[in-house]
Amino acid sequence: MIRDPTHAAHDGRPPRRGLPNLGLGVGLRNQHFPHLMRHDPEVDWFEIISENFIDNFGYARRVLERVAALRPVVMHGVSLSIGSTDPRRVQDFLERPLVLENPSSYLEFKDSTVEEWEFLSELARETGCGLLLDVNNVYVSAYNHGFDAERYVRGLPHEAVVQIHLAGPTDCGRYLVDTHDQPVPAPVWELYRLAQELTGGVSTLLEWDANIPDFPELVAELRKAETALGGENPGAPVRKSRAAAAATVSNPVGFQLAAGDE
Amino acid sequence: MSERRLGLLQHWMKAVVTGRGGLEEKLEAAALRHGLRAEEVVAEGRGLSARERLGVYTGGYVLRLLECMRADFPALRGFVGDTVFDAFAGAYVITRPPGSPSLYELGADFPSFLEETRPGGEGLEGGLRALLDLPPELARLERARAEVLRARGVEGAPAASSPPSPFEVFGQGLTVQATPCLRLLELKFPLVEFLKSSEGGERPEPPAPRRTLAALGRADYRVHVEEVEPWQFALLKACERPAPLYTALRAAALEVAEEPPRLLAQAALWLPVAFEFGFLRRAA
Ligand SMILES: [Fe+2]
Repeated sequence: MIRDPTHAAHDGRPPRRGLPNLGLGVGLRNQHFPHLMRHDPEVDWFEIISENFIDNFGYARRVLERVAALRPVVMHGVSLSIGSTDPRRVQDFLERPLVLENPSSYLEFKDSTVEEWEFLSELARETGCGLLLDVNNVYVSAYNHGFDAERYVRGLPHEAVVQIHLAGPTDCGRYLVDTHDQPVPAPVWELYRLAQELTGGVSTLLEWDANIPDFPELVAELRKAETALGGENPGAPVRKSRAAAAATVSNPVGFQLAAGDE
Repeated sequence: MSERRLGLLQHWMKAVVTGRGGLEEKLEAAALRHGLRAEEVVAEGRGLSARERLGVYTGGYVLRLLECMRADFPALRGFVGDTVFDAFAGAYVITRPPGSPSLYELGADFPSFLEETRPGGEGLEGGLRALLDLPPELARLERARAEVLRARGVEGAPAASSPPSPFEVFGQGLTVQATPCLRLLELKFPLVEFLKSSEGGERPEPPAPRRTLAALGRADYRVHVEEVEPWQFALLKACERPAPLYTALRAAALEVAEEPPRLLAQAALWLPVAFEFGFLRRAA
């Protein structure tokens, strides 16, 4: 969802599901507040976790006001439980398309009758919702369930994809965990290049939610997307976990409460 | 898959992820409730059993929320140590699963949970037994601090938050009001200094019990946590709603059995401080 849909597209292409290509963005994180209050944001756009701002009237709100005056802000709800309702009800209420993301998963149900990409394709076609294609999640799930990640990406309706997520997972031995705590590895960049080729170019977000680096380092990691699109793979192999697998958290959220005052 | 089957699987999964105890206990409870075993539900393969796969979810669920609790209660964690903190915070998130979409609500009931699960301290001598009261009190103070950080403040209202001059204080025309971020606490220990030195990275000695009054507020996005005197506490309380300063002072004087003129003299000195700490503002 875009705060201000009139923001110009990054590439001048027609909008998809009414949403423009915003270019390269990162999540707005408390740890970077001091930096962002003093420097130009550098990146093309920011993502915020909606729930962190709905009832926060402290410094975070002040930073958001500054950032939103300078760059487009995309709101991402992660615990509002709207992903499990009929998207049409939310879309009718908000009068804008909902954009739904593919998750990282660690199990499949025996009852399952369709593949995940088939389900998402059907969902997008039937409801008109947009898709947020997290290529890191595709890679993690493909590894954990033994499906073909490239086939998954190729199988989606590309006209419905409005945003791509990048992140670095952790190799816990026999499975991968979606830890968002390190650089994007080579196989994920490979899927990214493929997805951008198929979509023709959509908004890209780098997710980094634990062991968050300083802002300049984060921006440098994001800029590797340009290298990847140029045909050169900027990534390293997936990082192997040094911690016990039991201490590895998928999809960390603790960053949301980290102090970010001046 | 039928709607009914889908609903059953969702409830089973929720029971497994949010249930009490280790994985075996969770699975047993979910099987009793929904009549499903892990191996019937979860596809195995790639060398990973149904239990291992479920373990990523059950472990991640608690750890994820634990990390939030650690972020909201750093001084308490430093005081009781990681193992004890994780045991209590882990029990808390399982006993009182989060019901709000906002993570800010997660720690709201933690102080009362600690109060209710406080060990009895049988066999401990008096001083040590009194120490068992400290964790819930410290949790109350840290929770209040977290609330102040996110509450509505007075940053957008510079005129209302400009400190009054002594002339205004004595001039009878001033109407004051607590800021929306003011929090008042009556504590069993002097924990304000304790909290400040914990935040400074020290590991302070636990203080001896002493009834303490604390006020928390925010100005210019800085949180202020201060120990206040009984008359100051009573005055802040009397300002919950907009009140002429003299009315609030009379109420405070009555509360602490002081002469109003004496309080007025003290208030002339302290009111600017209360404004600078974001405790009070001029009434709208
Ligand atoms: Fe993502």
